[in-house]
Amino acid sequence: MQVCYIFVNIAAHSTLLIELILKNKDFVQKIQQNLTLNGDKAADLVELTTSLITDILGDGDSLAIKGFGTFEVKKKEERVSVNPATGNRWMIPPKLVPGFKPGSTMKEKLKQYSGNE
Amino acid sequence: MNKKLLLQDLADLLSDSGKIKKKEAEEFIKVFFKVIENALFEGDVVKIQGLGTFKLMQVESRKSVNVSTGEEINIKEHYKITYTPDVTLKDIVNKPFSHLEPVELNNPFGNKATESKPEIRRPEKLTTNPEKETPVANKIIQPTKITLQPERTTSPEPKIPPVKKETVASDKYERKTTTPQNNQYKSPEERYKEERNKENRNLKEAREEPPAFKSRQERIDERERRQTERRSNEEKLDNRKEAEHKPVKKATSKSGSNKGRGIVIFVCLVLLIFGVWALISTRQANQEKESKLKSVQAIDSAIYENVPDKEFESVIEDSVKLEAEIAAKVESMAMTEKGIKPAAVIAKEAKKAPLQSQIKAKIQTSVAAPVSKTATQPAVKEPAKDSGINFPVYKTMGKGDMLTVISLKYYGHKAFWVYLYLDNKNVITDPNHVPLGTRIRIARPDPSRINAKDPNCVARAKALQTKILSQQ
Repeated sequence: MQVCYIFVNIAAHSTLLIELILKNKDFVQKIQQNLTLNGDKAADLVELTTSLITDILGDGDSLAIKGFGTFEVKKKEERVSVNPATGNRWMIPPKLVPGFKPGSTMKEKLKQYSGNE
Repeated sequence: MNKKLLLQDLADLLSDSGKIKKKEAEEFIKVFFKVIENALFEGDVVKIQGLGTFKLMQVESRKSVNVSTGEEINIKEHYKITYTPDVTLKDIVNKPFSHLEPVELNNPFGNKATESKPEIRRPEKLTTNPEKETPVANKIIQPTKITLQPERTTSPEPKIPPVKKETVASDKYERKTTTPQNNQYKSPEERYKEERNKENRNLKEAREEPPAFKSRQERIDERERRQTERRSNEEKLDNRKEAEHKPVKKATSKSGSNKGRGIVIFVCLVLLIFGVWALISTRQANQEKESKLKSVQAIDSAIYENVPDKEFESVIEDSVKLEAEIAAKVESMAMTEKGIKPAAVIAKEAKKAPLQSQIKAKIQTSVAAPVSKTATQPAVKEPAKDSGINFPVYKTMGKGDMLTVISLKYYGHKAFWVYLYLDNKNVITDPNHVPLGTRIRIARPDPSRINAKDPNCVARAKALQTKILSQQ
């Protein structure tokens, strides 16, 4: 019985994921519609914006967008990991990882969205 | 460093570099994130090149405890935004640490993590930390491996007493923990690492909880001394074992693997090519055979439905023989027609290859297998292999066969297993456990009921499924 359910669930999820990815091109198109820009200019600006965000994060700064959230750099500490197969111990060095935290208005919207569902 | 930039700052940067007005830039950025937000709430996954992927994920409801009151509270299911950074962005952000690579820890006590008591962990950590800090204190981009090497080379030698190693390590630690304080502010480019050092020290201090730095050091030394005394006997044994094992390991892995790998890769490639060739040839043969056998199959299927059980088997035998003859003929025809080399030629070719016996055997089996398969395959199974299926099909449940899988194969969707079950209710008692050897009849799908492309059909089948399963 459960096996059947699992199968159905997997099928449903996989189709969902495949269909609903908004790729870069579509994204640019949507921005273009909202702003009535030329196609090239919208694409350029999107690229410029992403590169600016990368620069900001690359400098170790954080970027707060009102109504959306905060992009920031998080630090993952160094750790010792053990390969379970061989038992060898590896020191994984610390690393810096870009992260995103939703802002308060975004969280509110998420709550509403969850409530409506 | 660690500035908090706002939307306005980004807009300023954008207007400078994009040569547009500030108002426009601000408007654009607002729209930029608004579009992401809207797409997310429409259920899309937003993927932006150079930035990353935003996704709405459902968090299932779970129970939690109110920290202040201790009450149990139920957290409802909700959605959260997940952000997966783009690889390029990840690399750029991680640049300050990019030269660091995972380092295999040289365990002074041997790789007997399971045997060692939990106490051992601390001294290990302490001895490894100096290794990490050496490149920071001396020069930045000196890879950590280099500093490790001296230790590595000494470890397999059983002659060096383990006590010595310990003291060396602790000495190193002392030196390194003191030097960074002097060097720290001389190299401003290393801000990340300095920070890390500081944090590390803080962390360690927090872990050890010492009142002063010196006393901690003393304690550590004491502990290490005690450890080493206790372990000295064990270690000697361990080291001897290591000395026996390690050289053998290295020799086999270095000299053997380089040569062996090339051969293995070559063999794999050859096998793969022949495998693909065999597959294509059998498929072509199958297709031709199918067209010629269609009439025979039609008769067969008609016979199955009408003939009573006792005669049934003899008929099958006859048909199998007939099949085999025809299949063999078609096979040979197909081979000659398509210019496919017979097995003998392939065997000759194989002799040229370096690993003669293995490849020959493999090829012969791979060529022989499909022929024998197609020749001896009973007529019942034949239609299942092709896309144009002759319904009704009879299938004997084998190992790993499930109704859902069969329905996916024949009806195009897993949900239609319910119809399989309903059609075979007389033989199947429990749809979850169909016993091996059960012979089920797969009827011709009724397009109004069974159509994988029609969501209504699937929905109906699912409704039926819940009904059946609830009855169970």
